[in-house]
Amino acid sequence: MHSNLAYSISRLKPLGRWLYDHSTVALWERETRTLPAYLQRRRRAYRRFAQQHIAPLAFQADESPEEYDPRPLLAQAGRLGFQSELLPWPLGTMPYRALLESLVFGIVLKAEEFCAACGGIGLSLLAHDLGMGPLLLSGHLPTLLRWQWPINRANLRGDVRLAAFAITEPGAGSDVEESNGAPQARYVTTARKVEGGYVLNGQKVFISGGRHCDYVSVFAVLEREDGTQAQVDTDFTGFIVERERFTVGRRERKLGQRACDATQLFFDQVFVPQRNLIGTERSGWALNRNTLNYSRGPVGAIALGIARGAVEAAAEFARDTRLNNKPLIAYQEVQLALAEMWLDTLAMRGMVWQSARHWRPVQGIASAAKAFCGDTGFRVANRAMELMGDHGYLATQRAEKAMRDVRLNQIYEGTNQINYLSFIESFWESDRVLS
Amino acid sequence: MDQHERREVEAVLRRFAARVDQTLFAGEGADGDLACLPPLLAEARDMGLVADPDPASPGYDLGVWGQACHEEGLTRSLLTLSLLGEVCAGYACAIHAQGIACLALNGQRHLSSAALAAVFTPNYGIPLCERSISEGSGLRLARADGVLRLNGTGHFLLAADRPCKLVCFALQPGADQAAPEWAVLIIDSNATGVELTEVTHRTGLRAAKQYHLSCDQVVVSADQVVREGEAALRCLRQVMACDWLGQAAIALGVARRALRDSRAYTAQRYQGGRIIEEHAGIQLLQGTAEHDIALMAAILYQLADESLASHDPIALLRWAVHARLAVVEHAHRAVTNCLQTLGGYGYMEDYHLEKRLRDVSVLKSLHGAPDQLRLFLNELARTE
Repeated sequence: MHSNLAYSISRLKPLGRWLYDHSTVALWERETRTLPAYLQRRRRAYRRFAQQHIAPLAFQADESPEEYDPRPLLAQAGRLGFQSELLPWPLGTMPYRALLESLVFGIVLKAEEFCAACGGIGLSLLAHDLGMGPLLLSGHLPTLLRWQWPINRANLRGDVRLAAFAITEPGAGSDVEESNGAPQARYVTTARKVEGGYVLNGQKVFISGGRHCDYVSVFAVLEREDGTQAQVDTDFTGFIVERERFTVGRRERKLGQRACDATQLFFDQVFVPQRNLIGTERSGWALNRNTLNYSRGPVGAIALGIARGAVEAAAEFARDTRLNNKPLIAYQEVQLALAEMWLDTLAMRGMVWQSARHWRPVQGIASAAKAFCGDTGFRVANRAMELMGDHGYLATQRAEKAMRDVRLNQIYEGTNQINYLSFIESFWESDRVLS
Repeated sequence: MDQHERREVEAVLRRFAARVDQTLFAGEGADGDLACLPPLLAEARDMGLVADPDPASPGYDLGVWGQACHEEGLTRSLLTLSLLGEVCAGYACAIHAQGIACLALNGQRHLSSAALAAVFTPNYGIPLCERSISEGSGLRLARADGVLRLNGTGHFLLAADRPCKLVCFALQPGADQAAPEWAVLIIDSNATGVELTEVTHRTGLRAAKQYHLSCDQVVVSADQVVREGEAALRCLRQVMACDWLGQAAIALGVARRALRDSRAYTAQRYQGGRIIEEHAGIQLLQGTAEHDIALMAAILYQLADESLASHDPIALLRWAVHARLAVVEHAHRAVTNCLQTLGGYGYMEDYHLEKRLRDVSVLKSLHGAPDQLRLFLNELARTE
């Protein structure tokens, strides 16, 4: 602080001094202190874990994803209770207070902190929550007790049990994530009812964590008994399928978030018993849509984390690089660029936290957070690259990885175009009535 | 270059570009089969597309940034880079780099055919810009004990392959305490005191090589100094301008190809029961890319028909900065929009849209990031 200002403050009356917050508390800390105590503790724990365990692996995991084995890190996260936070004790590690306030706030904090260290490793740690999501959201207690509870207990022991989430197919992606596309979607994964269970046939692509998962929450159209054409919005049904029942195909080679695999899964005459049905038959469309409502806020937080990582890298570069005998950060144009990036991340965090404050995520608000953060995060990462000049395109500087990583946030969990339409759809009725 | 000649050149280049495409991307791999590059570069050299310091070589005049651009204008070079950029921006950059080094020589030295690289960029920022002299960066030429010595560093120099000779821009003390002035000189890359370090782990343009140069007490003879003073400054301005214009031309090619690939994909695949291209959201993305490309072409070729010799160096630089800023920014938007139309497949290596995004992202900051260029542009305008 400027010394004259400090002097002037010291001349204020005690109440005036007290009303003037001139403490040098970091932005991250200030924002953390606005959270309830139980979330403050979690945010600090996530950051500690990210800095100690994720950041050191980031470069190598991105450079040689085939050689990166995520299981040791997943075991560590599991033991700390980070892989079982969708349910409270004794079924999981979610704080009870979260049940009263917000089901996803903790997840968005986790997503930001983990992905600030590495988008790909962060995704590999978060993919399990997405895979478990449909079980929880089915609201079917026997399903939770049969599957989710033992999986959570195993993860807490450090015995890694991972789930993945599988909707996307080679010919059907974003369209099965919005109302207009779903009835016409060319969906090929089918379920046929047989004695004692179902037979699944089909193929899934781009499944995050598919290579290492032990279970997959898979969606299929359940064939109709009258033989008429089944479709996504009326016949979609969710199943949880154990690893030994399906085949894993090729791992995609992708632009970013490379530490987390995106894998093909094949279901060839796969028999699954009745107990593997998630919830009830033909409830899959609602289950799928609601899983997306719960996951889109955290996906926005992934973009936020990656963008924050890019700004931190740019700020570090600006402090360490000297130009004409002074650090780059002393130049006004560099300060302007950094401020612009920080402001963007503040806006993203505001959007994500606001979306997470709804006890149950709202479709339109979650979609808005996801789309806004995907677009803004990409802009921030590009700006960070630009600020570094030629150094920006070097992998050692981290900003280029952030750019590659965050580009996926404009695509997965429904392309941003689909999310914009989802926002309109969500408020179509209510806001027309209001206006 | 008249329209008829331009069409003929374009037809030849398109046939060659198609061959490069088939060879380079026959197999899998994010950046194609980089082992194919040496023969593909040799083929381009035989066709006269690659500039060469040897007057007997076909590329001496008509190669990219060859001697012909001093008289006939820049269209041929820009067109070539743009069309090769449609195939692979890194490959185009490799040819561009050799041309820029030959341009720096400006026919002053006739060398036998050799891989060259021009050295003019500091560690951070751009040369000639008031504030962009990074600490410890830049080359200095000085006489001590009657011997000329070169010291300092040059950064991010592009080359088709490890260069045999380096065409360096260095500052040397002015006469009678005057401000330092520029000199252009040639050094061997394996001379004593010269160290070239390859820049690895880059986002894109991986088909071109990139190096940092360090010179420690490199002894330079008088005949290695090609140009000094005003002539060297004029040459540096031309080199910087053509470097940025070439990058812009490559970016235009990248964007054009991205849009072509996007259209091909969206015309065949379905989403929500309809061909993808029928969705208004996709049409908006492709329409924006189409508009971006038209703008890019307009600004890039604005003054391209004027000969390099007739361009005022400051005006040339201003046009080049405008073009680099506008073209690469619009190319970046066009490429990312086109990638979006493929959904998840755009993000995967299979359709090469991710490669185009990586390449154009490098072009955005190569030898001058946008804010640095804006400051430099303002400086140029104030100077004028």
